[in-house]
Amino acid sequence: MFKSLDDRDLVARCREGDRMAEDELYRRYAAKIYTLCRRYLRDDEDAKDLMHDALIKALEKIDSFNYSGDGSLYAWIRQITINMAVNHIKRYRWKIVALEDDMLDTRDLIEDERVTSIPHEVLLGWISSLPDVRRAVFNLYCIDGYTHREIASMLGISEKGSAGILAQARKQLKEKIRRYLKEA
Amino acid sequence: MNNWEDNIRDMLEGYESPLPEGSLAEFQARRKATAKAASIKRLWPVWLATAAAAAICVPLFLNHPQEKGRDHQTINQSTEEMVVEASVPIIAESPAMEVLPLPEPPTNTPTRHTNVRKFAPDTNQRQTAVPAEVYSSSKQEGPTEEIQTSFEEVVSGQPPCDNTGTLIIPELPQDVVKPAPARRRITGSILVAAGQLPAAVGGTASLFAPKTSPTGYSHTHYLPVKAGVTASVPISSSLSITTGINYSLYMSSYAYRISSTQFGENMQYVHYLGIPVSLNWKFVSTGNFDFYVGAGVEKAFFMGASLAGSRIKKDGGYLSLLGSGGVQWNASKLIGLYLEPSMSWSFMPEPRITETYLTEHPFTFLIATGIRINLNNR
Repeated sequence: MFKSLDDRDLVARCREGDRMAEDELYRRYAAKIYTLCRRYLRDDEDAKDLMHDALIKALEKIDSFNYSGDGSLYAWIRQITINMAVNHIKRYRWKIVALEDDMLDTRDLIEDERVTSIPHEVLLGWISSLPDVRRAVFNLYCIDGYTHREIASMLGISEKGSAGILAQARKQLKEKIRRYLKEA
Repeated sequence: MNNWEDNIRDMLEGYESPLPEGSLAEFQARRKATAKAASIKRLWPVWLATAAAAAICVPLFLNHPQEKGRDHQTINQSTEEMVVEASVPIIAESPAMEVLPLPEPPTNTPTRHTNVRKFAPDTNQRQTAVPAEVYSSSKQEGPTEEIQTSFEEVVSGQPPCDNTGTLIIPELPQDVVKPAPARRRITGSILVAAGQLPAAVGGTASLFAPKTSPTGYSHTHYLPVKAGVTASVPISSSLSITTGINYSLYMSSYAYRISSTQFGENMQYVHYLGIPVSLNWKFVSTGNFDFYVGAGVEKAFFMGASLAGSRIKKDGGYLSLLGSGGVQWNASKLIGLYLEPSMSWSFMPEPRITETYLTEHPFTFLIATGIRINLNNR
């Protein structure tokens, strides 16, 4: 019954405290949010916890959501999740993460069309294996479309620092892609 | 942005990772726990208001006299629990009393008999203490001095009606000639007397403390202490129906004289639980304060009583007509603290065992305070 509801009606039901509607919201967006969380966090277990926290927080704040068209609900939940993920990374950024030692020169170009042949899970695994801050900057800039100014504000770093960290993340990822494609 | 990054973005944005097993159940459990925690947190104004109401009510309660626990040497307070039925007007066993031995009788030894006569208040005869039996000197030449006082006389101070052996214990004059009666006989006679009069409202309490008796008995009914929680359901912007539950405590003390030098006192505590229903009209609402008037009824149920250490488990409740006006401070959308002067007229069905402030003052004026939950206002 709830599968046929559009996002606006689903939100209205969630505001009334309808548990079935909340479960339907989970079914609709949990997988996408989980994927997003896996991009930002190293550990899949942490990603699952963050996904649950983000959806619960969205339900707690559902009264403040203003429906503005198709996709607005997912965009709103996604924003909450990204903020929580960044806060999580900031809280743990003091952790020392060993950098990859075998970072080689990456002047060689990557064949773009071959990138699409890489399985999604492999890509997710590479991204989540990046060091915390690099992972956050890469996700925020390359996938979620934030500017360096916004990233700097969110992470408490300078714009220049954001750009430098992004460069390091790109280098690390390109190497992994090249190796994979070479072996493939 | 490099093209390979665009490709990665396009690939991952539409991708949905398979969820771990049991993820939905885990989410539901966490959601439930979070909602419960949030509701507890939202109720902090309730706890605050309850604490404030308790802070007001507890000192009121403590300031009332507590059971003094006077133990005279001659009083043996019964501590056994008694189940008392309302249909049986015998209430509690009176404390066993030992009457002091009297002076030596004169040469004309009195004999015992149990005549009961009407008391004529316009005579010059003194009241004579006759615990259970009347003593007269059958050998005296002069007129016998047989003076009794019926139960009703002592209670009401009025000339008695016909009675069939009801007795009361007035003050013992010094020169009454009589032997010390047996303790058991006194107790039995009082109980029998009370049993013979179903209309003996108050039973032992009245026996001990007739209000207008010239013999020195007295009772004091203290103002009741009430506390409660009510809920208000709005039916329009200014009208609402208020209901809830009220606890009332009625305390009374009964002092009685055992002899010219010894007194006894008993405390009575009667507990009621009442359900009020009233219609309130909010005529002024400024800021966090609402001013209102209301009218309604309250049905109070007897919850228990104790008198001189004996418990009374069953008695009648009462019905009250209420009129009130008050002010409510809205601590939050849900909870309010109210101060409500109110008047009530109570109807107390008879027969009943306990007498309280309400028995003598069916029309009362009270100032009630408590917390109110505003429904439909979340």
